[in-house]
Amino acid sequence: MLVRSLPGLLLRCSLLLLVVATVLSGCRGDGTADRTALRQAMLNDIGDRVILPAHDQAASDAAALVIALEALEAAPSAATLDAAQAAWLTMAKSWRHVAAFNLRGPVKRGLYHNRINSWPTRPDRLEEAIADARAKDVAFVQTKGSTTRGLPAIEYLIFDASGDSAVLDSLAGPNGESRRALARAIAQDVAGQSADLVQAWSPNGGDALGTFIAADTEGRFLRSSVSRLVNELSMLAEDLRYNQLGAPLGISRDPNDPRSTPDPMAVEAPYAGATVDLLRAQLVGMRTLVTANDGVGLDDYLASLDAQIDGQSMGEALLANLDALDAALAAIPGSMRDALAQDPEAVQSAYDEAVNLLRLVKTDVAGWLGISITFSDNDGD
Amino acid sequence: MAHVDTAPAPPSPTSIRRRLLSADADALVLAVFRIGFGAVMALSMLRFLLLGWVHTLYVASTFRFTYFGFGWVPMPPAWAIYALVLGALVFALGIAIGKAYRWMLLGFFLCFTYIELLDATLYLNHYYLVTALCLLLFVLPLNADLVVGRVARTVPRWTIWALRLQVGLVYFYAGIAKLNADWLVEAMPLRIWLAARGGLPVIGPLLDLDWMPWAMSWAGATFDLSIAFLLAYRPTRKAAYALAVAFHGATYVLFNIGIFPWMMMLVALVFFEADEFRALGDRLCRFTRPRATAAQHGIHSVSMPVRLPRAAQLIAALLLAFQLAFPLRHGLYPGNHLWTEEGLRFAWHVMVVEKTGHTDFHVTHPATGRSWVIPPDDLTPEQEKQLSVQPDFIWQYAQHVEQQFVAAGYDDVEVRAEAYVSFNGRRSQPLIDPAVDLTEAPRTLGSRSWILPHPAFSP
Repeated sequence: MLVRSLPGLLLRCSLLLLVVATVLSGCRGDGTADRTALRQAMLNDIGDRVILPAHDQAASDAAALVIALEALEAAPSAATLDAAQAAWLTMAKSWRHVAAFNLRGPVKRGLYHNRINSWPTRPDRLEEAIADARAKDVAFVQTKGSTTRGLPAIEYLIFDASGDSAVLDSLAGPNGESRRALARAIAQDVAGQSADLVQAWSPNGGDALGTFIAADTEGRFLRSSVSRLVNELSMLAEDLRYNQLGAPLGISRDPNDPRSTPDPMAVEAPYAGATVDLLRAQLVGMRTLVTANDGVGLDDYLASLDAQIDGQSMGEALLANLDALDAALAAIPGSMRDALAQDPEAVQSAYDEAVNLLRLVKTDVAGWLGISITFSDNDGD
Repeated sequence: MAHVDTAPAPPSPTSIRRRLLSADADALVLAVFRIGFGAVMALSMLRFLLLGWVHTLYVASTFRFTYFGFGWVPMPPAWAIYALVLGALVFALGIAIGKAYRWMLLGFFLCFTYIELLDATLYLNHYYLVTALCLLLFVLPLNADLVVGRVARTVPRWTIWALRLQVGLVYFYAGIAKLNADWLVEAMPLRIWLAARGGLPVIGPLLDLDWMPWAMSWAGATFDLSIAFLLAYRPTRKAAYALAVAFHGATYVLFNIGIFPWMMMLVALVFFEADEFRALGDRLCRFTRPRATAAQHGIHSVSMPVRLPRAAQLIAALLLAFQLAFPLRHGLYPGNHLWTEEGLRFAWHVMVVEKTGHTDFHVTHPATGRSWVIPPDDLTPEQEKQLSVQPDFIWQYAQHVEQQFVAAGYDDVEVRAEAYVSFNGRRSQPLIDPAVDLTEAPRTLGSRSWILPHPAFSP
């Protein structure tokens, strides 16, 4: 009777299943890596080797920017302006290294990223702030919205597309003192926000890093650490394609947008002419996320999953795509602004690589990691 | 002395038919099903309200995808959607209670199905199962027992088997859907899904074992294909139900599939016989009236049987015939239906493929020579996720884009889709022919030529 032999039948079926599974998995030739340990190592390495040092560096560069702008405020000259501009560019690049880490939790809630680098800035609002008679200090800056503070606002105040003499004229002009003071006050705000952000990440402060790593074992996979990282990577790739390269090329996303030709002023950092430098810095930031600065990175985790694309490991494909985009950006002659007017094909090549990158991250990488690119945690039951 | 054979004669087809159609059975099975179904539906609606999904899934969306032939269903205001969910909750409780059973069922069916039809993004197999069950339950006397103040009655045996067949079909077709090379040989998509759940406490490391995806793929397919038969066969029933609880419990822990596991655990109870419920009830709680099985107490002779019109048999037969045939319609379409999604819905293809995609729409206005790239960024995350892998949604959104351009003063634009989809870990491939202007393509239930075949499944 089947009823008597059911336990035996189930046992035999289970053994058969095990044999089939072992044979089939053996045919795949997978390793026996402990993926949980590997994933934890990856998250720790990304935290210790990438996130914390990158934020420390950004905070340090923000403090240096304050010193440079204090010097410019005290004595506007070509030398102090050059120093301030160099400090701004250093900080803007450093910021690109942390841009990928506006992660859910204390960091996103703190709005640090919005306050430090909301782009584009609003020149009209900045001119209103300059004309405001109140003292230019951090408290004054903090009464302003995100488009009137942060690095893009400082860029507007200390760079000019027509050259440094125009900047010096404005800094020494009728509202020059107020303009210089505002630049310094915004920098102080940026430095304060950057220091707060370091605290938010620090295990001794808000411990965003601990929250991020703990999410790996919380069991809510849509909120998992890897999901958060790849979502951010995807958002950066989208930003590159649509905003940083697509919009300047005149690739409009809005039927009501009158632009249909390249728009040099639609680039980020148009006054400093530093668009290409900043985009390349952003790629460095994305690359460190993948490699964990030669630690256990996303590439190693993808390799443990045997994730391949056309015979190449997914991590290598991702790095190759980042390299191809970087090479395309490096090939843009002069500034992005000039290239859009004189050699838009060069910018188009970079755009095409950004399209490839977005596709790779959003479909192939996300598909292999079993995560849906989503910006909410609704399971849609 | 002549030899007299006292062994019972084997049942003939005629006697089986008579037993099924005419014989009366204890209605407790149907009543337990009714209470379980009503309770789990009420819980589902409560969960919907408490998690704020009316807002995030309906009110917050500015666009909606429709089912073929149901585009006319109007989107009600927010308060009305809340009222519909609340109504469904109350009616579900009414179903469980059993008074005015068919009115309660009608109310629940209308509220639930209306909500379901509002946005095809939110299609889920178990929501469709709810609708399919409601239709069948209309003709079944689920209120013949366990209704306060009413005497229990017996019901035609076929009513119980109709329900068992409907539930069994869900499992069986889910098993058939798993009989493909990706599932059985490559252990896809479980290799991806289990690795993504490796962080789960306690069981996470188990999921990382190399052979686990293969074991679970084969076990899952075997379970789906056999569980209905094991549940229907009395000697294996209890062990099979324990297996079903374990299986659905595991899917609850591993995947975000909401109430589906709980619902299936409850509906699978329909395979038990009334005496098994009574024995369990007597043994565990002694909450039921102390009565023995229907056969032992001759309940047929003392209980008033529920008599259903022949039309009820006919309707149930038609509904079940539809449920037998409709899930197989994907065989009428060319290509791999898991890739093309043609014939995939309403066919119990439960969690058999991992697809991740990205779609942009390229708009050109021939009159001015202008062009645009439109990402679908006015959608909810769930809508964007579904659009990226479903050709029908891509087609619908293309029409939406065209309307936006008409509103902006561009008549007669061309809209093409740049849609790439990764299928079970394969390199992403174009899903839609990028040369086809989707505004010129008709919406059809037939095969759509603008869906590109996947290279891995092309001859």
